[in-house]
Amino acid sequence: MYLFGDRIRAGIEANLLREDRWRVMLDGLGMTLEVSLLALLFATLWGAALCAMRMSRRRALNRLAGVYIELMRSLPLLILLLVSFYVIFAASPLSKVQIAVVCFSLYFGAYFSEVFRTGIEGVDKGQREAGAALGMSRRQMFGRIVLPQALLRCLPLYKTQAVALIKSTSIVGYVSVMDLTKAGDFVRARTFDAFFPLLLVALIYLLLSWLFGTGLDWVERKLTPKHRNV
Amino acid sequence: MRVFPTLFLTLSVLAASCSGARTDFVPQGPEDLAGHSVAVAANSSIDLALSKNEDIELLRIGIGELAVAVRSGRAEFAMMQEIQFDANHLRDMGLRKCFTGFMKGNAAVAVRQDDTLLCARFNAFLREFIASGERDQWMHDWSSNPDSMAVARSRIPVNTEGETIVNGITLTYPFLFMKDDRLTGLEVDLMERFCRWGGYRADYRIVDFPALIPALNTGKVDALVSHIQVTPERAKQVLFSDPYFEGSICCFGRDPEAAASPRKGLVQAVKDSVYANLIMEQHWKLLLQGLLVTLEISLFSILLSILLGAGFCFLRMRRSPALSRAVKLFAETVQGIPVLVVLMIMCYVIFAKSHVSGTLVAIFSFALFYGARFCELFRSGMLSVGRGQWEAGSALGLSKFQTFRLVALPQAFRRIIPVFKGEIVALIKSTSIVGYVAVMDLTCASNVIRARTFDAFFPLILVSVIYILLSRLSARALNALERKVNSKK
Repeated sequence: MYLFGDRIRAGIEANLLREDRWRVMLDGLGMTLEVSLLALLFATLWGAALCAMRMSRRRALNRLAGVYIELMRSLPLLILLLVSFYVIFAASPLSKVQIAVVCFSLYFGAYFSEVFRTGIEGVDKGQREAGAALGMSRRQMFGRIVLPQALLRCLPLYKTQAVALIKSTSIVGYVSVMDLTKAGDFVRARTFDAFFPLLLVALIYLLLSWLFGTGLDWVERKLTPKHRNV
Repeated sequence: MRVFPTLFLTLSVLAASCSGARTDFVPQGPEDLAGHSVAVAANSSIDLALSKNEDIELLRIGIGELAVAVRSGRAEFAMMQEIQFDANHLRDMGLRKCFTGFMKGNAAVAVRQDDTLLCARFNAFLREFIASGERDQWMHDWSSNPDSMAVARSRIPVNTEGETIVNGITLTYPFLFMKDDRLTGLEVDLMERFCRWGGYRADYRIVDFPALIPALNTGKVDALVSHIQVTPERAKQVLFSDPYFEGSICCFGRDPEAAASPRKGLVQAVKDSVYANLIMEQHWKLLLQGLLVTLEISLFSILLSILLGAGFCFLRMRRSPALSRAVKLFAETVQGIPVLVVLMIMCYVIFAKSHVSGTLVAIFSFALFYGARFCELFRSGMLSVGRGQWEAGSALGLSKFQTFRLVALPQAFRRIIPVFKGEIVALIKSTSIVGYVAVMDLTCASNVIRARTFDAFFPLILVSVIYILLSRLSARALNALERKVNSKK
């Protein structure tokens, strides 16, 4: 008969301490963070570029971006990952982690670009007209009037997508990247105990999502003019 | 819409055609592999043996992807059973063996540790099987010509009486494969012989290789006949029978000479691909079944998640703050975890001991995950309906429920439908991960075909196109719904 505390202690012993399994989990967490943060960075940049294309007045560029975004939005991420891994970048010198980062950036870039577009389109037309009335150039108008308001508007949506990106990196195990999920799976395969490693993995993801979410909430609060001078 | 597949195809053809990186290096033993990338089946005994050497860049993937990885240039070398290499005619696909005899592997049947009876019965059968010389004949026939053997064995009726043994298997030609809509192969044949001998009835469940032992220990299957090699680590978790098969592992890489073979014309290449990936061994049926499973999981998850979301939303909007907070906490928790991890927890922890099918587990997981999302979505929709609307309803003499149904719901629905649309498409797309818990969906079916034809390109592109069509069609249906809802304004 196990007591609850004993059970947890035994779980920690078997799943984390023995054979330095905590190291596997820690490496997995590091990999998840690496892929997530790099992909987040590149996806944001690519999303901004795509958004510029999508909102460009050149029809060809606009159409191209539109088709790309629709394509990404209708393809499962896993399929895109497999296609990148075995077809598109199969013979390239990119490592599997780099391919994963590229794949996530390509996919979430499409989502981010839509987030940015919603934010920019949400800025009232009168704001631009006010800028024009003040004699600002198009560039000045965008940089000083539209962008600050648009960024603030798209932060909540951006947060949702960014957390979705972090969570979706859990599928990289499919292409042999040893991330947090795969590390949990690895420990599970060694100890044949599903309960402890899976719950631990879930808990870490939860913590990551929460930390990231509250971080962006904080940024949002700081940027809201209402709170700025308080 | 017609642009997508073409664009995609062109891009991929371009990328595939510039594959190069030939190597003339031929390793003579495992020690030569240091500094090279080697593909191995994840969690296999080869994986365990090689992972001790940190200089080797290990690519741990599915058994079926080994040859694909080497052919596509993802890995320089890969390791698999020699019989598998020969039977699949991998030599004709521009691959060559580098060295053989690494790890003499003994494959045995694995059962649960307390299932000594089944183990003893199998051992008794095996002793007779070996003593009569039938085993050597069996081994010889299957390794020389698996396909004609499969046809020959399919004429022998299987035992349909007696106690059922559920076998966990991973599809690998020639051990276990589909032919004419029937599961066959060296190990299926072995199991059928055993069942005739012992008066059992065999049933099979296709499981990913790394998930085999967990599936056995959680009671999803009764025995594993999937050329599992006996290792001391595994022997601590399962009970092994005597070995029925002595294999040897070979290491293979790309053959630089074979790569110079004359190229086929594009039309011929496409024809060959279509034949191998769709028509041969009725692979289209596998794809169709996979598509149906994907549709089944999607449809039921959508329905159930809407119900769950509505239920959560109802609880969340009650005046009891404790209940509301509990539901909120639960919804946020579920949403903070990747859907893949939710799926794994459902499969290996919550439904581990029950005999619930993988499809049902997948439906529950997606319903739970998206139900939690819909809860907040529905709530924001309801909150967007102003208090005045409710007051107007009661002023008109409507009951609370009538006000909800006739006044609040249509307005709330109209507001949330743009986001709702996106979520539904996201749900359909995310069902592609169910292969992780041994459900044969569309993605998994394409993996099985890939594992048989070693063609990385065609099956993947085909399922991409199917998924794109599926997403676009559902988006279109939801757009029609949106228009209909809005026109009532």
